[in-house]
Amino acid sequence: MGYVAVKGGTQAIEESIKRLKYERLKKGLVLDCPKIESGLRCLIDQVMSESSLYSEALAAMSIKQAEGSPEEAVFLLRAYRSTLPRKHYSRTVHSEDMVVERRISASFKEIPGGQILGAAYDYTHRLIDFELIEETDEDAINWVREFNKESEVSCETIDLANLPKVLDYLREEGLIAACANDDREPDDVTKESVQFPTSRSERLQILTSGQTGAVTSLGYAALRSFGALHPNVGELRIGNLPLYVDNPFNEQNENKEVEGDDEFKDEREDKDAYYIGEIKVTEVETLFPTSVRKENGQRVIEFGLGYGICYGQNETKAIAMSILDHCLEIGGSEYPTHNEEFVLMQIDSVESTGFISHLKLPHYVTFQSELDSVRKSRKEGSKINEH
Amino acid sequence: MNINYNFAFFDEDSKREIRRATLKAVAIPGYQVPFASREMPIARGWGTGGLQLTLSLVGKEDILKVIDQGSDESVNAVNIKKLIHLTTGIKVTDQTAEATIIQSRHRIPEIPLQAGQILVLQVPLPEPLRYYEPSEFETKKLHAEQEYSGAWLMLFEQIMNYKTLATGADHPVLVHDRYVMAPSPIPRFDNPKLNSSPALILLGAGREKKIYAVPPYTKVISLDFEDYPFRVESFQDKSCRLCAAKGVYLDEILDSITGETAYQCNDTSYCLQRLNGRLVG
Amino acid sequence: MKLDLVHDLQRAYRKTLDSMSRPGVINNFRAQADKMDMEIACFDATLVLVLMLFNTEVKFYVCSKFEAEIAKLINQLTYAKKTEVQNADYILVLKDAQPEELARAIRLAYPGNLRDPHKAATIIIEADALSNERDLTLTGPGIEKESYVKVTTVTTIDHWVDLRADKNSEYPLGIDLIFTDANDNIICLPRTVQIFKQVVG
Repeated sequence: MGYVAVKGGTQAIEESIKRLKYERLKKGLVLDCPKIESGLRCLIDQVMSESSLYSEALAAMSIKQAEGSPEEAVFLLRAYRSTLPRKHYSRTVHSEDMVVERRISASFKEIPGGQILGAAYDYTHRLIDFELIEETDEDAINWVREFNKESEVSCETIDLANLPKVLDYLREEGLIAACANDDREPDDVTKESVQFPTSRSERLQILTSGQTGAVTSLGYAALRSFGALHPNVGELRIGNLPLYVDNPFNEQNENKEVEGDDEFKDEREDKDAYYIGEIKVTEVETLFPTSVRKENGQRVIEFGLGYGICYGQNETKAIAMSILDHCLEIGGSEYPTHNEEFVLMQIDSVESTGFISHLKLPHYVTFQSELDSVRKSRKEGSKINEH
Repeated sequence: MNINYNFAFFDEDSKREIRRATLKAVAIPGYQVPFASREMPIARGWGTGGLQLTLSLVGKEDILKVIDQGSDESVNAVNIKKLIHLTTGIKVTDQTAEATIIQSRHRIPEIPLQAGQILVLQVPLPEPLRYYEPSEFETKKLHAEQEYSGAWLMLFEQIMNYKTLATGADHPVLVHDRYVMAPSPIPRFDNPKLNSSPALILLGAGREKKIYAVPPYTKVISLDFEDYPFRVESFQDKSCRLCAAKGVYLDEILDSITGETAYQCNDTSYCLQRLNGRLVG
Repeated sequence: MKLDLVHDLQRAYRKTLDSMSRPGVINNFRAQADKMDMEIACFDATLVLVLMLFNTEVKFYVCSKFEAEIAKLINQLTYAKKTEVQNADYILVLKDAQPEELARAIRLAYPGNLRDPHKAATIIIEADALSNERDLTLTGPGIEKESYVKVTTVTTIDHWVDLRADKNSEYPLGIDLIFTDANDNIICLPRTVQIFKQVVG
């Protein structure tokens, strides 16, 4: 009988996986995916945004499998995304077309269409409601029925699908500079790796899929270093956006960039546009008053802009993103939050958690090599001491 | 668990992108080609770069060997082998000579590689100048201009501090007289195996999103100074306590009871083959 | 088409990688090419390379009498987009191209830049015949001592060798070549290869 390898590794892993499953099942209760979709809306929104994959059903499944860990759930979704062929890009989306559910401005009290508070935690008192322990599905159905009756009574005088942008209003008033459309084809960071210096489209993509905590903390750091000038949320809107794709074999598409008024063509009448569904997003446009010295020596205040957008309702992240967008657009070496390599290379959940957790892997050969070096250097050191 | 994944996990377009990058990497030995780097079911830092390379290469007829720190049974190696087998069904082996593709973390096997084999090395940090220059934008420039004084400076500092070259693993090399390359954290002992190898060597960094290559029969020289030449770890008087092998990389094993230090082959499949009399010499 | 887009393209890729890492080694795509039954004015081996490598992100240029048709078909099969020769990632010089077109392709192809030498174009050239006869001697990475190839193309043999040497004179900049022939052979000449012509007499 010959020597055989000690095959402990495979078995140990099998046992570990079983032990992990035990943790999820030991209380004898499993989560129901529809219940997760129904009751964990905010976690689903966070996970969809960080994984950059819009699917509440898949997010719910991942959350169940990951026992609620956003780190693990995002990992599952990203890995799944890697298996999906992607052949098409959607048409440009215009957030003016959003069917708004919530829309506020911190910069102006009166805005066209009004401040629509919508569903938000901002106005609640953060007091734990212990009555929720007793809540049943039937309670939910009854409450919703009453709520729907109330909503029927109030009349709608505002067209929620056509609310003008606050910033457009400011541009019309001449309070902020008009800016031309940048209709360049965006770069896709998932198809080609990022090179520095980055384009704005690359920055926005990385920011929107950044880990919520990381983006929030860096946005906070940027805010704290701003000093006297304080950014203002010009508009925050949340609602659904319809998505359309082109017929992929349409040769006219090659000339699309030349025809300027295509972007305002009504997609519903465009026979070449295929509607594929809608997504809920949070969009934020932030104003940064900046003191600028004009040619005549006079100092004036001009408004710089920051833009944030996320899948789902992720308000803090979208606002933080808009702050970082502005910081990275102006750049500079004074603050790390203005350094694009520092910000963009650190915020991805899968990458950061992966590399940190890799420290748990065996490193003993490299360590052994270092020990050898340490010994050699000690030998050299003692040789010198002997003289 | 019902997984209906594509052969080798990811979609064909992802494979195309990696294949394009790999062909370019082979055309420019030692140069880090950026690639999009898909997320894998295994965490970043755990070999996703190597894994993506292997999955872009692998076909039904391949025989795969995966090792980590020299061992086929290490947790990381087992996990990777499991995923590849799950998504391809291909044959796996412990025998270096039998494998068509060898994916490895931190070691090159003792048994010399042959023409036709492909070695895939897992790389955590592909940039040999990162210690010297934190910015990717800047290091790209340094490679473009062949400005490698940073690498030499790091070695010079070692000599100043320790009176000898003291890199543990991942000692930088110069490839085809042009690019300074990080060979991945293989011990210094393994660096000479990169030079003029009959096999193709591919290196993948998943998190950093780089692929690079050393084609067969390519000149690879470890950086050193005339008066401080590159030296591998010495196991001069030592041999493996199990198979008595000499001149191979040995692990130091501390016996916790007797307090004695013993040495054992790091390459476990090599050791086993010697024990079973299947290797001569 | 009986070509298996997963397994046949994988096998073809391994052969291409083998030829690229060992310049001078001729690999053959017959097993894959035989499964192609498309009516197209290029070699089956060329089409295998296209299916293996092209997708939405790729920009290409075709030199051929049937350029428009072929470009359209390639776009339909792979979603790759045709572009000008100097912006192309892949340039196809088909068998019916004029000699000047090959010269022009080599001259105008993008050789990369010092920061991004990998962005250089790859030129796929359809030759009459490929063999290991001692016509051109190759040395460089991937070759133990020397290897030999004979490439019979529509132009005079020397022409492309000199143009290529000129284009690739500032390593790491340079273009990479892949040759195919009607017998489904391929050879690869990465920019690192040095080519010496046999001295006659």
